[in-house]
Amino acid sequence: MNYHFNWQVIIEDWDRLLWGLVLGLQIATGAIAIGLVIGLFFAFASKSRHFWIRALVKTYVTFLRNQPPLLLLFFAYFVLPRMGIRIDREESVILALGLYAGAQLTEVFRASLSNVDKGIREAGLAIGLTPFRTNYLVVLPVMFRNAIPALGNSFISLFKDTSLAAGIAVAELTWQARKISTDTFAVLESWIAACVIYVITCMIIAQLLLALERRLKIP
Amino acid sequence: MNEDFINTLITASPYLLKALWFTISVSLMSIFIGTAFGLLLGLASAYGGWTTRLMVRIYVDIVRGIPGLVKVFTVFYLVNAVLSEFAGFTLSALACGVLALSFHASAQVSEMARGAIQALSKGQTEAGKAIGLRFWQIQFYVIYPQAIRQVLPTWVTSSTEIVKGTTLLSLISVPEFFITIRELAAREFLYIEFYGFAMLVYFILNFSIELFGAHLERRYSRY
Repeated sequence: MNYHFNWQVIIEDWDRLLWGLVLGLQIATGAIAIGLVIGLFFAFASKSRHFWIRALVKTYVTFLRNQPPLLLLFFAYFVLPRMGIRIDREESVILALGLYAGAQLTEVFRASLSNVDKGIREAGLAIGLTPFRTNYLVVLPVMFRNAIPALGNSFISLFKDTSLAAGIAVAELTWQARKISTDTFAVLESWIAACVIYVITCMIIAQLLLALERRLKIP
Repeated sequence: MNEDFINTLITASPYLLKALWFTISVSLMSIFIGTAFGLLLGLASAYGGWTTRLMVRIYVDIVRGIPGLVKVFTVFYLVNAVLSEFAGFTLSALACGVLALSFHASAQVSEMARGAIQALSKGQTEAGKAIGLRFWQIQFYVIYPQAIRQVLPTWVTSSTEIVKGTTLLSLISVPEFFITIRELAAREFLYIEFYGFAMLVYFILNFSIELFGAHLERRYSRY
């Protein structure tokens, strides 16, 4: 083969890839936090008795779910500043991915909310809790446990979506790999390294989530 | 609405339509190739021996663990490096994009197909064997009509994922819809209008796929 692999480049720049990975995980965590808030709020709102609230949730979910995340990212980065909202690169990624995740988590939570046994809610009301406290103290924990596998999958796909941030030059893993490949011409090495890091990270997250699921399982 | 925007939109409409057609055809190709390849993988992992199953498992886990954008870049550089080394030619950015998206779809479809086949009771296959059908006949007449019902909703979702994924190809300069929008927005300085317009277009594209999927689901639920 004419191509000479030069792994030395990757070994020298391992810290850049590592910090890229850390930044990606931070962005994913921020985005899932926004997504969780939106998802929880809208899942309960979708059970509202008011038609307009349900319609609003439905519109939000259907519209956002059908958007390419990259487009949302560019929208947040290029358009929001022109509408007078000042945010930096990382924040626009977190916002865009958070809104995107919010739509998916609304669906997740709505499904797991529907799976909560009606009797549980009635039991809460029967012992004299207010509807809000019933939802908060009784329904929510059960619902969360139902939702954990789906939440884990959302987090993993969100972490993978942070690679899109390279499109607006956020220095996460994909961008670092691209930078190393253009700086050193070690194109194959840097992309292979990025792939390996992503695959291993996803596997580790998946295992951690499985462990969490096992811990929270009620026998 | 801004008058500049309307004028630019009218002037640029041939390019935009062409780019939109590009996006649609890239999506269709990727969905088609990915589904065909994914079905084969799914069959292999449902009926194959443990080595086949292990290989498919490794393939699926690797492909699913790599983000779409990284997949696009890796295929673009890795496949071309290997091809130019051993075959003496390289693929265009477009072909690489289709390949990367097809890899993505194939991993999803293979998991769906395997799940659907394994969810059917063994008695179905045995009944097929008992009335003297061959393997492929069992697949087509017994397994397929039942499996498709289970697979359809997920398959429709991953088709919309592919349409969303075509935007990634704009980063390796494939002239699809999103790159055209980006160029127009930057040149005319009409960011709000053009990005808003793109959102509307992608929404219509994906929403019609969803509606079509719902229609298919209704059709297949008669089995």
